[in-house]
Amino acid sequence: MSHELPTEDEDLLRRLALGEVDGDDPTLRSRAEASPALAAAIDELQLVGEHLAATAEADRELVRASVDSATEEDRDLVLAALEEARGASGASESRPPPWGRWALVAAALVAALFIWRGVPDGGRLTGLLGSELCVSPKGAVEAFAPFVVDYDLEPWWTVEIVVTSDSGEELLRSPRLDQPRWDPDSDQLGRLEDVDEIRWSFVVLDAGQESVASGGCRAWRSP
Amino acid sequence: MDTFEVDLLTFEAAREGDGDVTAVQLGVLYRNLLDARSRYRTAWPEETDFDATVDAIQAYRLERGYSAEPYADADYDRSWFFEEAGLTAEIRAHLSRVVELYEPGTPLLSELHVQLSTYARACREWEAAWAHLASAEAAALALSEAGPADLAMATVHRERALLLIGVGLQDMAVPELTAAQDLADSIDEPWLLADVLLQELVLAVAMDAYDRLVSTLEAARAAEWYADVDRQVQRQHTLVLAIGRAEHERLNPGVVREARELFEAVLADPELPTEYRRLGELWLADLHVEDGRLDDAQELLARVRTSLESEESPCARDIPSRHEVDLEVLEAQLALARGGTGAELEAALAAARGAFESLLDRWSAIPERDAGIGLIHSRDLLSVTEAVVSLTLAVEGPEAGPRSALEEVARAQAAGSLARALGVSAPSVEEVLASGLVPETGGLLVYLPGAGHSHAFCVDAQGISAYPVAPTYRLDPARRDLERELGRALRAGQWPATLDDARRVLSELLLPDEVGARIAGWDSLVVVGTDGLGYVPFELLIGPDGEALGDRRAVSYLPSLAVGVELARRASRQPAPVAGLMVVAAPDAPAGYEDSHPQLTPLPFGQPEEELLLGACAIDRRAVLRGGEASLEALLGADLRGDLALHLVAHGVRTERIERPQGLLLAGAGGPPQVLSPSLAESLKAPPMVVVTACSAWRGPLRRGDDGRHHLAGALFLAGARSVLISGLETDYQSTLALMGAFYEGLSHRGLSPAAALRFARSERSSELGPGRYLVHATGLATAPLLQAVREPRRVWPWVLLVGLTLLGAVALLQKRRS
Repeated sequence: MSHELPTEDEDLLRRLALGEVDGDDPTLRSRAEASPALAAAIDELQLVGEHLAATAEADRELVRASVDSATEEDRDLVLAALEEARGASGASESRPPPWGRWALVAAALVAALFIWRGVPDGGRLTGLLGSELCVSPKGAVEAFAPFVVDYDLEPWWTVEIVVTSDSGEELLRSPRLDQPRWDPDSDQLGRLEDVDEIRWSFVVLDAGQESVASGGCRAWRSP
Repeated sequence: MDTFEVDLLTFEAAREGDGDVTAVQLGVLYRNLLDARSRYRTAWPEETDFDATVDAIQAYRLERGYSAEPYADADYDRSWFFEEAGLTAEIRAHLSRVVELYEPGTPLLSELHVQLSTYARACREWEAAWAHLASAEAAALALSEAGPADLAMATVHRERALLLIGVGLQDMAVPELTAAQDLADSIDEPWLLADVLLQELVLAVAMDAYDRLVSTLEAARAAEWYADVDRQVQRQHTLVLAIGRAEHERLNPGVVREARELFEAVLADPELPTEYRRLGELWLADLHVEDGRLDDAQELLARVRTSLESEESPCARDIPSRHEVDLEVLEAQLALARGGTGAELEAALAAARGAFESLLDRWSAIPERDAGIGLIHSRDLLSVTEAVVSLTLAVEGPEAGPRSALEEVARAQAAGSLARALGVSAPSVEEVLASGLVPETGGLLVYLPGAGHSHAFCVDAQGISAYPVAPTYRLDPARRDLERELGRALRAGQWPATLDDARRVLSELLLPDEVGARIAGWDSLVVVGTDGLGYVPFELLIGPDGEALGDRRAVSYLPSLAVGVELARRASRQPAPVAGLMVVAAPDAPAGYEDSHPQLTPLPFGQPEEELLLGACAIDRRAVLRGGEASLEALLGADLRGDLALHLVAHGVRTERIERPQGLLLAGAGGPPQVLSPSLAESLKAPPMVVVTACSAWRGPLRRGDDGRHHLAGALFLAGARSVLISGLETDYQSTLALMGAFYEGLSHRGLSPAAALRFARSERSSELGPGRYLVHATGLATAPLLQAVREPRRVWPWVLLVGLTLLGAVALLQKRRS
């Protein structure tokens, strides 16, 4: 549904969408009484507003549930609600009404604000104690490679692995790995040929290059 | 007389009510006005106020209800003229009008907002840049056709990623870049793929991920679409590769030096755009300074200066462009490397200080973020701060220099998110000294990390001194090595030799001989500015006596000098607390715990554990909430501001994909367990001291140069705490309870400060605890005893009574004599 409104009414709607006037504003009320198109547009805007408010409340709930940052999903959340609102209001799929675009601007500003302030998303909760992150090699093994860490890396996260001898001499050092697994090349493996026991350690780095997990294991050749 | 001047006269007459100007006439007038402005830009007639005339035309247009589109088109067309002329300030002005004039839904609108955001970002107008991107996103959403809408959204994501990288938020930039990549892949447009590739390369440079940079670029060059990419864009890719190579060589001094040749090859291209040529010349000059080729560097810098002077900046006059800042910094480094005269150094200092002041203003104007910003992650602010400190030390000498330089550091620190949230400003050195932050038998060790080299300031009874310390590119790998070895040691329950090797390397970098000599006599050490360095357990570093710093010294940490002074003020303002302690012990299986968090081992908190923690604690007034009582709701509802301490014993949990990931798992009120996140912790009514016994609670994404608002300790300072004791890594549960039991003994029986009580606990438990005893840290105001403050008022009353009775007796005696 689209409303062709005079410029003054459209301006009033824009100001309403941006919160510059409230719904009880006398000018707005009198104009709405005089113009059914404006009254219908206000109703639709209110509907969008309610959906946005519901989305915001859902976000606040999530904040209360202690999840406190934001990424793309937040924007999706806001936009999904907006799309839903537009759908519910019967707004044209092909071209939103002029006033509706102000609501879109408002929604995008809300989304941007969330990203800036740090708004919740679902997140992935991991515990920090008691989990053994070394997968292999560990204990008695036939081959020391590959080196595998049990950690789900987020995009752009990396792992660094260092292998030392039993006496602490550094034998191998991996490059920044973008997966939790390292397959040293044959030259590197050659350095482990005469070694019966190794200790290896790893550190998981986030996109800002700060450690999020570390650990290590001991491995020796099975007899 | 120009055509536009004739039209102008007609227009003026119409405005005066004499005649009329039609929509077509007005449109022509507007276009002619812009044309004339282009032609007579440098000799614009003084009597014609261009901006006022534009405003008048637009007002007239509105009054008459004429369509805005022709005016938007005219401004847009003019902006191309200015683009060709390299007049970026004019382009900005024109585009700013265009976006106001075009109707929502115009396909061009999103792109224009992105362009304006780019200009705003270049001028460090962060709020404007962010707002333009929001408008660009809204404009993209308003597009009805999927193709243009996706294209516009890809551009928005790409620009937002760059904006986030600019304020040191790489982790936040990643999802934006990923979204841009996904859209670019689906659209399969070479110029867009190349554009997004460029940002990916920039991110790789920002993350020091050279291998990724090379492999990404190689993969792109091998792809079919790359052949269709504009040569100019390909040159940009090569330039970023050269920059990445230069950073890689800086990080890895042993690798083959190729960066110089790469830059020279790029700069040899006569068609390289001016902006990229300048960037390449600046980087090459940097390499020359590093290699001691000072004349070559000077020649390049002179060329850059000439280039900058011939171009109009898009920014306001008082805001230096990024290249101007880089130029000032490099000229400062050159002056220092040449060992110039006093006058030369003073001139360099004045220039660097001007850039520093301007950048600091810009940084302070960044909208506050709960999750912090990377204040000095950006190379330019880090470099200019370092340059100002180095030049101040060189110009003012070893006596006065350190004091002045520390003042500058304090100002940079005060732009931190926590300081801003607390509403505090930069303290003067006098205020720092008067605040009581400097321990009587110890000192402050203030770090300023740097790309060329870092600085350490020692502040103690002897005065203030500054010493050079290793740069961040050497500190970061050493920090990672220590953490990796600690991770292994903690999991294995051992203390391997490799851990000592890692400790030694980092200690030599952070505590060079001069610093070691200065702190040798200190028994109390307050480390300031660790958020610039990243996590370093100083207690574990090897001191000048060959022992762990934490064995001999009470070690504590302050987020910044500004926050430290504020916490000291808070201590003097707050009434003495009652010696009350609330323990919220959540680990013993709150309802739903095993179902929702199966990976966490239940940790008991029964009578034996309570005895271990509080058996030697002299604080009688205590409440212990455990099991279902240890709920988030109960904690949030408790007003502990009049008590002494809150002790939280809980699992530390990390929620990935959010910015403040570290939290504590508490019981839910009759429901599943709840996480106390940093944002919720800010709303606690906290007592002066909060102890957090949980894994890795003092962690979060690195916001280099910020003051730690994003993690739990920062949140607890905002909630009212003055001291927060908190773990930096995973800790063994029973051992940590035992350690904290000894801590309470030191705190309550011996009247020690929190930092000193921790040192006491480490020595008491040294035989049973491995490196874990060095991983509980005293942060905030931790060098003054807390319980003395509790007991002192009680001791005063008998004296008041005694004095009162004596006075009464004296008065009675006098009256008796008189009578």
